[in-house]
Amino acid sequence: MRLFRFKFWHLGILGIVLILILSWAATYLEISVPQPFNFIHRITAPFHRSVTWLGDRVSNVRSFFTNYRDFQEQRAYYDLRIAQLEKELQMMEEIYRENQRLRSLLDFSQRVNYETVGARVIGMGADSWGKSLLIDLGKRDGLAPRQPVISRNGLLVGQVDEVYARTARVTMLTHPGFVVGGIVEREESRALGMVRGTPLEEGLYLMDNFSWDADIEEGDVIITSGMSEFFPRGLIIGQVETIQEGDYGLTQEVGIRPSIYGQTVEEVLILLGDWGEQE
Amino acid sequence: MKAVAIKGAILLLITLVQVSLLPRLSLGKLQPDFFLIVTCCWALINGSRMGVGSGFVAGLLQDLYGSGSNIFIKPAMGYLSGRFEGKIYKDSVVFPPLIVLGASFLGGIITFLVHEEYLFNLTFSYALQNIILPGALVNAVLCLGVYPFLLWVENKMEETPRGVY
Repeated sequence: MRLFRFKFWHLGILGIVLILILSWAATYLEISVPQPFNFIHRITAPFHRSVTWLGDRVSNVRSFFTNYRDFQEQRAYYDLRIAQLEKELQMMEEIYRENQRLRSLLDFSQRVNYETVGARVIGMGADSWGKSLLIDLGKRDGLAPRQPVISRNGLLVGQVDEVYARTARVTMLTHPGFVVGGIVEREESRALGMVRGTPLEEGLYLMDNFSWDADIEEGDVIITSGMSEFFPRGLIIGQVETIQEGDYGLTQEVGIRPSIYGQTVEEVLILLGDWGEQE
Repeated sequence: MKAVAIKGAILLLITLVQVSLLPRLSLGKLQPDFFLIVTCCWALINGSRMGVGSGFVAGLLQDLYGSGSNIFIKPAMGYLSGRFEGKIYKDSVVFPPLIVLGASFLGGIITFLVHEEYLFNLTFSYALQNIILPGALVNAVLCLGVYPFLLWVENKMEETPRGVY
């Protein structure tokens, strides 16, 4: 009498178990897709650029016809705003010159020397789990893993993850695995915490590691603390929306809305510079 | 050879749609997984072997443009879907979306469990409500259009129509 009779589907089940073990091991050992397969990126990158270019043109034509009145109102608003900003700019230039003079007097070095390079977003991550972007610059343009990525207006977008020859993948700050040190921008507070890509609710992400008595208020702006070697100080992360007790009252857990949340990111800047020691 | 070329072209087209076109359509939470839909459909039409093969290539492409262990999970889903080949009518409209729904759900749960960053940073209920279930539902709905198209392509490639038993 045979106790066990081998069937083809047993092999299938065995295969699935093996695949799951390999899958688990690949994730925990942080094994990524082997480099030889990266040629696929090189082949498909022109197509991604073409689709993005075509999409831009179609969106522009459509928005011209649908938003003509809005454009006129916006133009009037922006004319006024430009005039205001020019006045403010003059003031800022004066303050900047004064600041430079004082710095040279006190023999302060420049705080951060950002060298940036602009890139276009040509795609998004191919799955709904990890929020990532595909940009049209790569190793040839001086990109390397872990470089910070910001929007044109200086908001933190994320960090370079994988770099290929002509393209790179950027992990966004709303990705569950993303962590960055943050500090409350308000002068009286300067409380430090960790901003994580852990979602609390729609559009709100966790910032923790605050002491129970840390001075945090709703509406506080959170910027990068510059404590790690990967992010310079002063990049805008987001704004505090909720504050609650954590760890049975020993800490505070804050819900922050990233400034980049809900915005369409079409171009980004990658910080190439070495900011070294920060104040 | 012709079949391999056509399938390769379909997978490249899907990559373009998934990476460059879908994000522009602002679907919010509803992020379909065309790689999984196509893997399951080809497995239902051609069997487990095709499911594993196409799942491997689709998973590889998806991992190149995202993060994850799709290179392992997609072949598994392809194999399981392929087990239903010959058990359902190929012209059926109801079963393929149901199988895609099940595969998406199972694949989603496995992804959640094997990824440290999801397991420790997302609650299971959040992942279920915001990623796994919406994704599975939208995949099942899209399968209603994708499956007949892929069956039509397969029938065109072969002399004997596969829809006839």
